[in-house]
Amino acid sequence: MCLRGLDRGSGFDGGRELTASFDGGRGLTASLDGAKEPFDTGYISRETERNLRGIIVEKSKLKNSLSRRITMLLLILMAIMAVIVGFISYKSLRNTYINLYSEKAQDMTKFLAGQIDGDLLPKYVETRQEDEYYRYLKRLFDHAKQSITGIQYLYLYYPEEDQFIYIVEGMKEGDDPANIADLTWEPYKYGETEKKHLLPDVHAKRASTEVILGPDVGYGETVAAWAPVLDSEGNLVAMVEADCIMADLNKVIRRQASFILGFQILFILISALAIIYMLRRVVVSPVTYLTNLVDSYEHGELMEDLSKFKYDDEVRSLALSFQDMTARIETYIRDLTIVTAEKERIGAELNVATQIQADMLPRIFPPFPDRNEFQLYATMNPAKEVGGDFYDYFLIDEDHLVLVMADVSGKGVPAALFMVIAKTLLKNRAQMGNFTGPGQILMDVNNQLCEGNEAELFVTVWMGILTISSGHLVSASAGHEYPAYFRGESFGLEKERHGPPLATMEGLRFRETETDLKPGQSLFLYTDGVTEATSADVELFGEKRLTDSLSAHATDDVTDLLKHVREDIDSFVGDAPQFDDITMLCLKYLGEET
Amino acid sequence: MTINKNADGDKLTIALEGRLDTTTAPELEKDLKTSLEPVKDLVFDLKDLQYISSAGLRVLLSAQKVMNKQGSMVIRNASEDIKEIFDVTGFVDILTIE
Repeated sequence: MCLRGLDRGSGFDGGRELTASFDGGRGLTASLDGAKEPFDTGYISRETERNLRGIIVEKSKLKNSLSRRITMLLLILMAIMAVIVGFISYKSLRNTYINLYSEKAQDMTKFLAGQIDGDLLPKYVETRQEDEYYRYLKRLFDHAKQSITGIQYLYLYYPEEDQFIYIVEGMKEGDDPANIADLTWEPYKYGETEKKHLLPDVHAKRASTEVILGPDVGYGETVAAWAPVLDSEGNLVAMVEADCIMADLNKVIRRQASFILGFQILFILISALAIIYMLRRVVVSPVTYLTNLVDSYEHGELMEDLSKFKYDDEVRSLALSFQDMTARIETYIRDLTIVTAEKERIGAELNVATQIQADMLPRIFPPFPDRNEFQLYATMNPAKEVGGDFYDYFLIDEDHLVLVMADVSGKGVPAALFMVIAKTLLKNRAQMGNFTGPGQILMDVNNQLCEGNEAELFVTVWMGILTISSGHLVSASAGHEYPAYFRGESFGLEKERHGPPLATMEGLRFRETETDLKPGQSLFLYTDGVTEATSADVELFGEKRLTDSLSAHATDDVTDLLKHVREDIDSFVGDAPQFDDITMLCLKYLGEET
Repeated sequence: MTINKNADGDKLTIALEGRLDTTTAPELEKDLKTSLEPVKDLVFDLKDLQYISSAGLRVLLSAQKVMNKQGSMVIRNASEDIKEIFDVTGFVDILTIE
């Protein structure tokens, strides 16, 4: 089927023709003659359109494209509708025709029955002889059949209980005379149809119309009407019957129904084409255009101006939502870039901080190359980038060496800053001209640290002052781990008097412990990162393992001793993460002689 | 670590279970910040506390400082290991340990 020359009306651009074709199983296709581009929505410029063509072709090849699905759905719905409407029109036409012919046939039989003189009829049944009146009847019936179309049989007969006897039958042009009954014909034996429909009316002497279906009739579906002819005394003397065979009529009805159906299909196709065209123009094309815009956004461009979506509809609303979204994404990316840059800057600064902190701890060994009275080595491994542990050692005069081991509570930058303050205060206080013991130093530094310590950090400190010439060691502890001493056989912790950590409370006093180091004896200082190094089984390294490890390497050089202890800790911890800073310091006293 | 709190008027008992270290101390600190306001009598029950680190000690110290202003604070049922830590760190001189 092909439609051409359909005017597209005011809703279309005009000036071009819409051509549509339906090609078998492949579905409905439509194209615009005279348009160079297959796609013109009025939404977009020619240039953009050309750029989009590739994409549009691609999108229109989508397996389940919107327009194809809606088209198919529409066609199926309309086909079902056409079948239903066709069926209804056929039924309705048929009823109309049957009613029409029933009325016609009945009027005809009633009229003819009224025209006949009933008193003259019985003699024809008895004598079977024609006369003047019989010929009048014949003319009457012929004339009647001739004037009324659609009636196949029109005849007069005398009904008995099981048969009827023909009296006369009308004939029109084209009828075969051999088929027209007259007085010479044999009586007609009733079939089931006559017994059922005709006899009751014969007994009741009434006129009737029946639509008779069934094989008895011999010529299929029939509309039959009959009317009684009575004599002057009211006796039934004959019946006039008119038969209309529906077979011919059905042909007419079917032809008309087909015409209606055909017209409907035409209407459906035109509607479908119009709907598909509108669908493409209003929905599919804008959506495809929007898809392209969103696709192009992936390449980092902001969505362009959306004025091309000129109708305030759902598609435009979607486009606006996309536009809002891209704006939000842009803002988000900008924010993220700033935050990331900030994070990188902080990271870089933390690295510098780590470096500064590392630089604050004395790391040149041997520390006093011209002093032979002792060996000293220390290490610090922070758990995070910057840690809170620190050690320190310095000479306050030719004969006095100060040793410091400390651990700030907490981790990270706050602990590191606090560590810097604590370390500086301790060293400054120790190096002040008037010589004082470590207890006095800790007391003074504690009071200074307590001032404005809003973060409530504190620091455990062990501080010892060694008189190099004699090996006399005075120490004080602000809540720090007990130091381990090597007195000749093995390392052991020596418990001493303790005060609370620095910066906990103002006015704390710290008692001093005095001991003497003999040549060959060692002192080992550490933080809780050593004893509390945790294995994968959540077991602590502990003091026992520490002193065992120290004792095993007691005769080593101090540098090797710390390396070995560190190795023992590492093998104990295994793959478990390091939670705390690990800081160690070892002093081996050699005395004046060496 | 689990924190079980039991308030009775202006008396608050906090039972700690597990390890109070760098990772869990902030949780307790945050909790205390909101719950210490009306308390006059604070009790820490350390029966089931296995370990306390310097970060944990710091939280206890903060609580002690708050309670010095508005009432009293005691530590109860600390195990030998925990007592040892209080001892070594000198916290025995600051905290009231029963």
